[in-house]
Amino acid sequence: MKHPLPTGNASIERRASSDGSADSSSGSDRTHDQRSAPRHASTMPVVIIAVLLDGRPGSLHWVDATSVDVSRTGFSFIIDHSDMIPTRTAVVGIDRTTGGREFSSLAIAHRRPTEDGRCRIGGAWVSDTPDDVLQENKLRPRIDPASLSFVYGWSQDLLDAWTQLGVMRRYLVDRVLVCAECGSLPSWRKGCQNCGSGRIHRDRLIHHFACAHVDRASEFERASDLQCPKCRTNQLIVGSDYEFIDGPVECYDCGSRGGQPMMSGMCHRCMERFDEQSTREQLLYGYHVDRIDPTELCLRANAKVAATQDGSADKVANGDKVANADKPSSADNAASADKGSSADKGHGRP
Amino acid sequence: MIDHWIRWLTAMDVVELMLLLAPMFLLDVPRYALGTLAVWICDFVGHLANTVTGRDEVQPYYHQPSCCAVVAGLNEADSLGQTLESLAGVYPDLQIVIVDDGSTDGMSEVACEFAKRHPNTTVVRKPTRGGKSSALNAALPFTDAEILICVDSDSHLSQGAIWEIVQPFVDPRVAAVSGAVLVRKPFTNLLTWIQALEYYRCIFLGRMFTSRMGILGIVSGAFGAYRRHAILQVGAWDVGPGEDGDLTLRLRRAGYDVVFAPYAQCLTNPVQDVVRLSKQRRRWEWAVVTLECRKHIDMANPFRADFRLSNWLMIVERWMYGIVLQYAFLIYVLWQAFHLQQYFVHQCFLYYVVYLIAELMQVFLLLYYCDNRRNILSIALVIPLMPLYYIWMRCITIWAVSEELVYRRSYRDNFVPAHVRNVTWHW
Repeated sequence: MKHPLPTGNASIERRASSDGSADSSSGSDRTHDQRSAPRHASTMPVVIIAVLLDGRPGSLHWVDATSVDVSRTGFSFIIDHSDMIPTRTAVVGIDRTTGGREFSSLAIAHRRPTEDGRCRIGGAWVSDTPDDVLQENKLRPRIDPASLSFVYGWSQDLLDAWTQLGVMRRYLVDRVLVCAECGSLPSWRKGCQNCGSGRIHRDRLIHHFACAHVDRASEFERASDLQCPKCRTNQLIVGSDYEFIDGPVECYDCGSRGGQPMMSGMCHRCMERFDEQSTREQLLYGYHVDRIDPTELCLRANAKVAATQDGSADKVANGDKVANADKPSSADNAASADKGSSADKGHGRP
Repeated sequence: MIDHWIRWLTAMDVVELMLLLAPMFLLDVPRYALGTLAVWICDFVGHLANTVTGRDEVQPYYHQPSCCAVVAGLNEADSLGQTLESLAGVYPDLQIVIVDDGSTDGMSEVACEFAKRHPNTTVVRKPTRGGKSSALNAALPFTDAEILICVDSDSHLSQGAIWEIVQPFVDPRVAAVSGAVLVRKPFTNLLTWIQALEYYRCIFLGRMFTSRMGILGIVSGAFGAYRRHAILQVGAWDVGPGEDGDLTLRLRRAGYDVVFAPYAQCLTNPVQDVVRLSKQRRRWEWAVVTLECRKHIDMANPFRADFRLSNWLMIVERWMYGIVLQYAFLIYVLWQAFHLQQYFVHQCFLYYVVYLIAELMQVFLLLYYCDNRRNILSIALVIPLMPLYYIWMRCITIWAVSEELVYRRSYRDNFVPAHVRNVTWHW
């Protein structure tokens, strides 16, 4: 049973002090690069879709979550129960300010309970790696040299499942003619009208102006010059006495004669020849994902936090910490966790 | 005025009247009126006999040779589509060869578009305009069909036309069959209306008569069928103008018969203005001099090995009606205008009345032979103008024959492109 994704408007709130305090105490034993990515703390509704091992959306494929931290390299969020995200990768969806929703893959690095009994999950953005179910080169059709047909990086069922959820959007790339039997791409040639063979020979005709006779050039040829077989005029000069015309096409394979060579296709799997009308038109689709731009997301969060600060001076006066650009985030931790470092080391989270 | 004319007419005795009407009795009356009347009498008696004996007159189409329709044209992109559609699917395995004689208006594209939808179609493109003869000849290497059916690219065939035109080929002596060319939109203007009746009279009835007499010497370029091996034997089409008549005469010389299929009908667009009509008719009349008086004059030589009486009759008929009696008519009218000055108007009116009677008789015969009687009666309303039209046509004939006899005008006509007519033989 698949559910449509929920819609929601992003709302910026000041982060809970627990996060801020936790982050404020960290940093002494962290390497500089793990800290270098600025962290932005905000609260906004996000959609989390678990990704199963085969790339399909999980059975609990969406949950409403609240984002906690966002940085260029990672993201953390809070959900009600940790078992709602049973896998090591998930797809995160965040509403755009201009409408619609953006998605990105997240490699989950840690799960941690919060004070209020919920679960905080952090991870690193992944893009164009084998973990990324949304990587672009798997969503475009490409020719498989073995089957001579168009394939995707994922199975069609998987793409359909993600499309149905609204994560991917299908668009028409091309219309191609494929073999009606097996769907593979044929090769095309100007061939015989009867059998489609490319082993054809085209005669040249000569039109003799004086008597209007038209015949094969070979009929005009004599030992030393050209002679019209109808009126016996000889020593013909091209341009003033005669002109060439394209003659009939003769096929070496079936022996038939015709006018114009016909475009004929050949399937290299079925080894069948056919004309254009006997092919099947295949609509070739690509799949598009509106990807989250982490940098843009950071800027957005920062700008909204600043706006909130301006409008909520009272709250600031009460000593609430506001996330700032210098604080390392839990998302950074998630990113560093992927690199083998300890996620909680010195982080001071509750 | 009418009373005066009637008194003048009744005052004459029969001999005087016959002398006055001599030009008509020598020209149109025997050829069209009496000839077609004789054909009608034969058919009517035959029909009566069949009715009495209960014999079924309607014959099924029993002859089905392989056919190839050749549509040759120059800059006919507008009308070609309709012509081709009228050919599609009307005969089993009909091959269609479209020859584009160097068009610049996209005729080839129209043809290729049709060829995509109809597999047994071949498009031949000539790089430069070479004339109708070479365009038709260019189709020959592309087909092995037994019968070649030539259709003008601005004409379309009526129902069953191809079946009708191939039936006479059951006789192996028949090498060419002429179809009946009729006017497609008769009421476009007065000129097309008049031509519609003229085509019925001269082509439908006139060729019915000459075909029965065995002296048919022309196969319409707009719609005619030929036995392929016969035209290859005689060298196919020569440079025009008059290439259709020329091929027909060469087939007759080779010992073949040429017949007319009245119900193999093709509807064509007639010329719509006076200048073009005059030019078209002059071109037709030039052929009488070029072919019958020069190129094929030896067909009348009884000492030739290929002499045939029917050919002799045909060529003499063409000489007499195409040239001699035309001049005789002119001389006689001039003579009468000079000697019978006071009664010249009366005499002209007499001619008018006699022509009118002859025309009415032709219409009566048409009504007998055709099913579309309402259409024929509508077209026949133009009869009062026909005598004047024929006088104009006679003037054009005399003009065309004279200019061809004196200075071979046909070889300067742009019906054939200059690079062709400059190197061809001027008969």
